[in-house]
Amino acid sequence: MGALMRYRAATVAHGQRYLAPVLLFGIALCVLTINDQGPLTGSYGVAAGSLLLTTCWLTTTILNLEDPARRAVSAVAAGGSGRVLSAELLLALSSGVVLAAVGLVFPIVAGHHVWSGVDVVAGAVAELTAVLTGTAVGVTTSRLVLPRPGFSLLTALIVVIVLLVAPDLPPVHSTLATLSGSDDARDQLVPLGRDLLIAAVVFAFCVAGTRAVAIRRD
Amino acid sequence: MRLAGVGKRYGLAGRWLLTGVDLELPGGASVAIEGTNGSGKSTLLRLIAGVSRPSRGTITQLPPVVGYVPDRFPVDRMSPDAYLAHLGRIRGLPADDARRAGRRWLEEFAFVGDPEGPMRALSKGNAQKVALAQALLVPPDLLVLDEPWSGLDAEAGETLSRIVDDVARQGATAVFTYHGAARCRSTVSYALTDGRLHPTPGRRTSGAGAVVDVVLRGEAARPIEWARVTGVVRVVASACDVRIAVRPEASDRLLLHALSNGWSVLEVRSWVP
Repeated sequence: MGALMRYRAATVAHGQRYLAPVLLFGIALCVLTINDQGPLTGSYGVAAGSLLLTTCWLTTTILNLEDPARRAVSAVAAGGSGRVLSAELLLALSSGVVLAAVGLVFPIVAGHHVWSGVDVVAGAVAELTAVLTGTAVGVTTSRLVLPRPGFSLLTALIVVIVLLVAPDLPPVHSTLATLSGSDDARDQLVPLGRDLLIAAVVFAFCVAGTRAVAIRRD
Repeated sequence: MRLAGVGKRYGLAGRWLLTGVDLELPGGASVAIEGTNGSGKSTLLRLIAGVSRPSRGTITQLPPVVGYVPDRFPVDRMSPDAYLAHLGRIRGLPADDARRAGRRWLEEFAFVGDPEGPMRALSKGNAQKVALAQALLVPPDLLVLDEPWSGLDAEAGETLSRIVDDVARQGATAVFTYHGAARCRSTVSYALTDGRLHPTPGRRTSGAGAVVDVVLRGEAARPIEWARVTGVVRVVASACDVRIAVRPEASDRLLLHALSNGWSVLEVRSWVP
């Protein structure tokens, strides 16, 4: 699995398509959290929202990078297309976690907040929720499920927007509402944890669905 | 490995590309599959390699190490060296061994080009050599080659034919497709038509009716009346070359006779029509 992840990371690095989503996250974080005041969890809400879009885009980029014929070669070498997909998902999730770490530290450094460890824990839970959900949307709108790029992009965009704005829709909008709803992060931990659990279930469901469709289509 | 009643279509409304393929792939065999464009050769090879699953029927006993070369090998910015090192590591080789094995196979196929430059800059033939090298990094139990000779020069084509023979001789199975002239001495061959496999007469190197096919060129040579030479079965002359089918026991004398009269030998091949 390590070798597969390294290979995929190398193809991603060569392709340079990862730059756009990563830059988007960096810019959103800079513009929306620099010199922020008030509760730190408010800035974390912004970071989580940007992470949703970024990880969705990044995941699709990672999954769509290799031409299907080359992907078949990799699958034979790895002993199954399931292993290739697993490696890609692990890569997507770990890059999401790295971005989430940036999203946790940057608002503290760049803003003016009175903060405690509980705020950071709440932010970490919220950003993990965003990473899991974004990866889930990315995998379901990848070429494995939606082979036509225009349709895939449109679907991903609609799903992300709905997740961000539909009132109290778990796991993402409810997480954002929780972060901005209360000044005390200790009250937020339970609903945030529940949303993370929901995000994990959504992720598992999306991956299983994608795998089933990909097998049928091969 | 065995395929029983294998059918394949893409999507629920798709055309049945394969309708009922029964195929036994024993160890030590090199299996040729012939068919026209769109007859489903590539689909069948994808099924054999385990890339796709049959819509009906069963495939059993897929061997552990499979080498697969698709009919088209897309290239990107990664270098052949890096690509082969990655693929070797994916197959479980230590990093150094993977790199060495990649280089060795590229040399074997007389790869021309920058092994550290982008694969995108390679010619079709050289990209094909990278594709072949990747399938051979670890000795395969099953080697699946889709139109492997396309784009290869004569020398690399010969190398590949020899490698396919070696793979079969070592007890593994080689399966390959081709259309047009066969470049390889297969032990079993099939024609794929109407979604099914039909056995075609195999080519052996000895036995009743065996001949040696000799191609000679004699631009400045003394003319010889080939049809009267001992053991000659058939003569086909073209503008500058002559193709002669001769019985195996008389082939050496014919070659000696040709060479001593100034003819040049272009090709010698065993053949059972």
